[in-house]
Amino acid sequence: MVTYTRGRLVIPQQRSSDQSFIHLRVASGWSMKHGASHVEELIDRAITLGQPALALTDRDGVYGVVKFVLACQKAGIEPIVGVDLALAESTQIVESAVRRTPARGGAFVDARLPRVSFLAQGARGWAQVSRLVSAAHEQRGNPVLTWEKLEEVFAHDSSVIVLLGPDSPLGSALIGKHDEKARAHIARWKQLVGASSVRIELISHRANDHNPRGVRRSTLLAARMLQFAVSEHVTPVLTNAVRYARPEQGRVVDVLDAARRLVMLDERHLDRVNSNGHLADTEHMRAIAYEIAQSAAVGSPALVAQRLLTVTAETANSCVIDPQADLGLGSAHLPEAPAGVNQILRQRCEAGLSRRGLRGEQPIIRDRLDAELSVIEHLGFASYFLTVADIVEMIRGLDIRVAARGSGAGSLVNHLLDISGVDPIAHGLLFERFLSPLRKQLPDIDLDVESARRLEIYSHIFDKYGSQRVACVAMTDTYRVRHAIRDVGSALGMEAAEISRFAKVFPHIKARDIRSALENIPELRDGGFGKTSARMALVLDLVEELDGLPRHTAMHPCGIVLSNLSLLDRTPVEPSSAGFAMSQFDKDDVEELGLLKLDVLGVRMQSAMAYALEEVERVDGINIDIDDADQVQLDDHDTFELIRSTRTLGCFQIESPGQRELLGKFAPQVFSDLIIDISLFRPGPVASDMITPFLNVRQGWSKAQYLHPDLQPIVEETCGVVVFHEQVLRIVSLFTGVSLARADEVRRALGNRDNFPQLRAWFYPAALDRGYSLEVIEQVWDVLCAFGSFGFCKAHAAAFALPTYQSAWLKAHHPAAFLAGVLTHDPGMYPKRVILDDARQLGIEVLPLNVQLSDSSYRVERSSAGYGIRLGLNDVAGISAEEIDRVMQSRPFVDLADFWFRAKVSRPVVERLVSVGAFDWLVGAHSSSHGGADQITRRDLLLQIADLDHSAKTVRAHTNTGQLSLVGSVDPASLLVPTGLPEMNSAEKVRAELDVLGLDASRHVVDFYSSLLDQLNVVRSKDLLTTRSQSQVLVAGVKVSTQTPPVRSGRRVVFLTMDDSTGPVDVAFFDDTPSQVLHQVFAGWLLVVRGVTRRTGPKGISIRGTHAWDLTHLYEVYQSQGLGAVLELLIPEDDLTTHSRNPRRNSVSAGQ
Amino acid sequence: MRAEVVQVRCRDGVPVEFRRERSRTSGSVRRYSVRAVLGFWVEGTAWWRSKAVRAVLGRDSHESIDTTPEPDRTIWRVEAREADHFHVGVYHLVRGGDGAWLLTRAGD
Repeated sequence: MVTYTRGRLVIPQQRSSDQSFIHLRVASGWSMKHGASHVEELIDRAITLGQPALALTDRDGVYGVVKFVLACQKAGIEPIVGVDLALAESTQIVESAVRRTPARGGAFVDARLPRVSFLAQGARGWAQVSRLVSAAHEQRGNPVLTWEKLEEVFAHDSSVIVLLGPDSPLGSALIGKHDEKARAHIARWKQLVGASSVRIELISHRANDHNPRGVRRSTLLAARMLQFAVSEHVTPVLTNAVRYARPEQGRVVDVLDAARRLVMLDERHLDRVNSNGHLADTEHMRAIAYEIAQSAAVGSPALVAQRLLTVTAETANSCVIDPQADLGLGSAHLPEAPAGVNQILRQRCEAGLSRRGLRGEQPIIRDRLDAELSVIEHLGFASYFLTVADIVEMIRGLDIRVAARGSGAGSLVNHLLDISGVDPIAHGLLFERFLSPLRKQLPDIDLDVESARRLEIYSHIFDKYGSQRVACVAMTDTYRVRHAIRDVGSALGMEAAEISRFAKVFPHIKARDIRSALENIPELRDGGFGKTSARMALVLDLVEELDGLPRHTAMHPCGIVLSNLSLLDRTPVEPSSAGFAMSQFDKDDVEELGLLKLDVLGVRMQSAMAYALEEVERVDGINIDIDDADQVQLDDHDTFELIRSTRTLGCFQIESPGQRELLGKFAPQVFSDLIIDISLFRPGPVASDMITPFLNVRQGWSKAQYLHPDLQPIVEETCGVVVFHEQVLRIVSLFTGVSLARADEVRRALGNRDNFPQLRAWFYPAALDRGYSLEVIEQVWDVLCAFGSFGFCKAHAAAFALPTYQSAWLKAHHPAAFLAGVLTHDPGMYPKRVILDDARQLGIEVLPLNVQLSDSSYRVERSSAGYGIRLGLNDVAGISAEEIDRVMQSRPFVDLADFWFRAKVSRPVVERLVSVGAFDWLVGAHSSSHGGADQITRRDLLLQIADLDHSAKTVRAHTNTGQLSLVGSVDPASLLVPTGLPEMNSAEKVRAELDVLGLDASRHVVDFYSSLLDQLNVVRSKDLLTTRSQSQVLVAGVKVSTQTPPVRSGRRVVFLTMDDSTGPVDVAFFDDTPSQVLHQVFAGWLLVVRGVTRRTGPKGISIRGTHAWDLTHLYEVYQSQGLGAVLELLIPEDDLTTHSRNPRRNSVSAGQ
Repeated sequence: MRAEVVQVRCRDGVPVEFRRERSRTSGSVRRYSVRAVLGFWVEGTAWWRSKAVRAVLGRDSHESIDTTPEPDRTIWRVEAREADHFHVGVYHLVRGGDGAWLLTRAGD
């Protein structure tokens, strides 16, 4: 019934009574803290009401446009897009509109500038809307248009419709009955965009025109505007200024207004007067049109109303957008390609062959290169690869570490262009997994770079390609439960403390799950929140309604888009907080728009490795290129020995307790073992238990099973288990004869169970055709179904395996430098004190802070005794960068007074430096023994600081009173006298270190308890492997981490990792653990744990925890009451648990 | 004046007549006929002062709280003449979401 004319929807001439209304002014949740409905809701409602098209005109931005048009296409409704922007009539208003961040509590935040809406017509219209939005955002935080900017955008033509409604300067003029002003305003617009592009927008929510809040939504004003339109010959249209889909959502809008203005709910602060601002049905809009016409008295109300509705529909008609033709969705818009781009790509690949030492005449290499280049040429993506290669080259030129991650490692072209460091042919990686001729979709290349220098790279990319061709990508935070509670609570006027308490009760769940959390999470359900639910019913309702609404947009931490000069015609940009131009679209949207997206991820491990290599050069004078396979070979014996020892703390990807357990069982020997290890250690394989059969074969307990001899070459490398996507591709291709590219489609389809029947119906006959027996086909099909979605992309794993190996190589060969890098950049999961202890275990001395020697970060020092790591000034609590600078510039120091006067560090920081030994070079003795009567101690130094500070204050005081400062010449040396006070003992020293640095640098905290631990026969980490399996043990240590990951059975497990000064101790608590034990685990820092051991492999042991105690408490009891009292506390009370696991004793009755 | 419950008769959705309670003085029902509709508008309720919110703030019990939003009210500003009287006054007739009518302004 509807026809298309040049891509425009043509609504045929219906009978007037049949014509459905089309809303032209609609704000969704993408109008942040202004619109209350998701675009899907609005679309649903419009469809339910039988409306053929829907506009999206969000406030200040077009963040939701891509998702909107795609959702419209899917739902079968025509999209219209535009934007609602503020207009400043003069620069004065612009300046006053710029306000700094106000404090909460009523500071006026919302400038309430006049507003104008623009609807895009066709591709040109969209380009102009996009540029208008960019122009409005020139100043960060206060988007506003000026006439100057408007004149720039519409200098030559205009393909937009301008809506001037009651919120516009026109509306204001007519409210004040300043007709001349109104005429002048209209004239200006006519001149700017042409009379045919201007519409006077009539809106009525039937608000009370006597009420200043309501007048802009009143029939009276709409009628006046209609009269004006008629007398000035400007076309009027009817809209409903929609901010919510259903009338009941009005309250949400009020909460958003209050949140945006940082005030409590009150008439004064709200815009909404009633619930008529929803996506209303045609009947309602007809009635409104009639009322306005009646009030305007410009002709027969029925005819005038009908005319109004007709021209509204016509305007809508002229603005319908074709997402593909007008927004460029579905086609690629790559940076400009030079002539002969495919040839250039080939040449660079050939050059890469010789650089990589690959023999291009070998058929396997030649064929692969030709195949890849042919697909790239066919898809027209050569420019993409060259651009990425140029960027990688630029990054390397800046001497910054860069490594590609992801399926891109499977491409030989990437390897030859130096984008990826992994040889895809040697590791059997597939190009089809990365780029397929069947899917004309831009590939995804991610680059890992040194985290510390990521923004530097951004600057260079922007410089190189120009601001017309590059932008960052947006990332939008949406309302989750805590923010929703805060905004609702504040709006309603709850006490700040109560809001905070209530918000923090919840984990970081979705806002819509708040009620289910109160019912299901044990801590909440049993925590007496039942009554709260009843009292807080309205809060819960409103929180649920805020769920998922956009709250705040910031720069995505890795995405960059590159395009040709049409970039800003396709996406508007606004300045991010870092100052880079940011597209208003997120990473998915920019891909839909066909823009080249590159993820540049700041990875701290890369910074740590760069740092380590610099230290090696600085200290040992050796220059290592860790990416050079000749210098750092991938089969180094020492490296694999370190990996097998599971002492891989600090290493990339393989340091977690679970990974170390797997390494213990797996015992990797070669680089490809690392690839397998990384692929296996994920929730999927763990959940579906791919690991056990693999390890059984690997450890020699069973032989590899092949369902058919043809499968052997494919799954031999993984002991008969399907682990990699690439293997799935090969199997599908082998059994059905399809190409690997087609096989990749099948693999993707296998990710959705709904596709199974269809795929099966194709797979079976195809395989039978190839001569496989039904029995074999069935088994293979089962494997594909089970593992098709759990497999891992081998190229991903290979890309990861490289930095994993490199970090292990560095730890094996240059541990001091490596750990200094890890301590400085903190890339991993363990706190610094654990890494420091690991260094100690490796025989590296931990050198204390020293103001004469310490750098800002951790540095390697070499002595005859070996290597040491010197603690850095950065970790001192409260020290500023300027202070660190001054310390480093002003040294060497003669004494403390010299430091005080020249380094000018604040007193608390100097005190901290003294307390952790940074001035021990002035101190008599370094041991824990008390200082003798004539030896300077740290306490003496602290006293001297007090004196220095006091005298400085006295000098200032005297100077202020104008007297000559006789006191000014204080003799510093005379202030430093040994007082005979005892030096800090080692416990006090460690306490100070923990306080100031967060590190127990001089001595491990657990050492202080060793007498008790020895008496209790606590087993240390280094001795765990000597225990028998299934034996009960006591372990102890400092808590490093607790984790509650999802596990196979779905039951809750808590993993505790402790560090006992001889290594890490990992304990698992299962869901039958009494809650008081878990409470102790979560609450305590120094713990003693009882558990049962289990051997899992040659170097693997796991402990299942049953009880836990606070070590400091036990030690107090030990000191005051002796060992016996402690033993009583530790008696294995089987009756404490309801299900006894120890069948031996049951004599003590459950007396609790 | 305090809002007064009234009975209203409409035609095509527009009030034409309304009746007030028996007055203490005359003891009979007062009838009014609407001479002109001066205007009408729709108003939402100040839901942030509702019982549900007072309960949240601890100022009211949380027994039987209804959190469903109250519907809008329509206010008709009309000129009406009381039966057997001469002068015409301006009145506000408020129709709640539940269909009940209140008189919130009476007089000249």
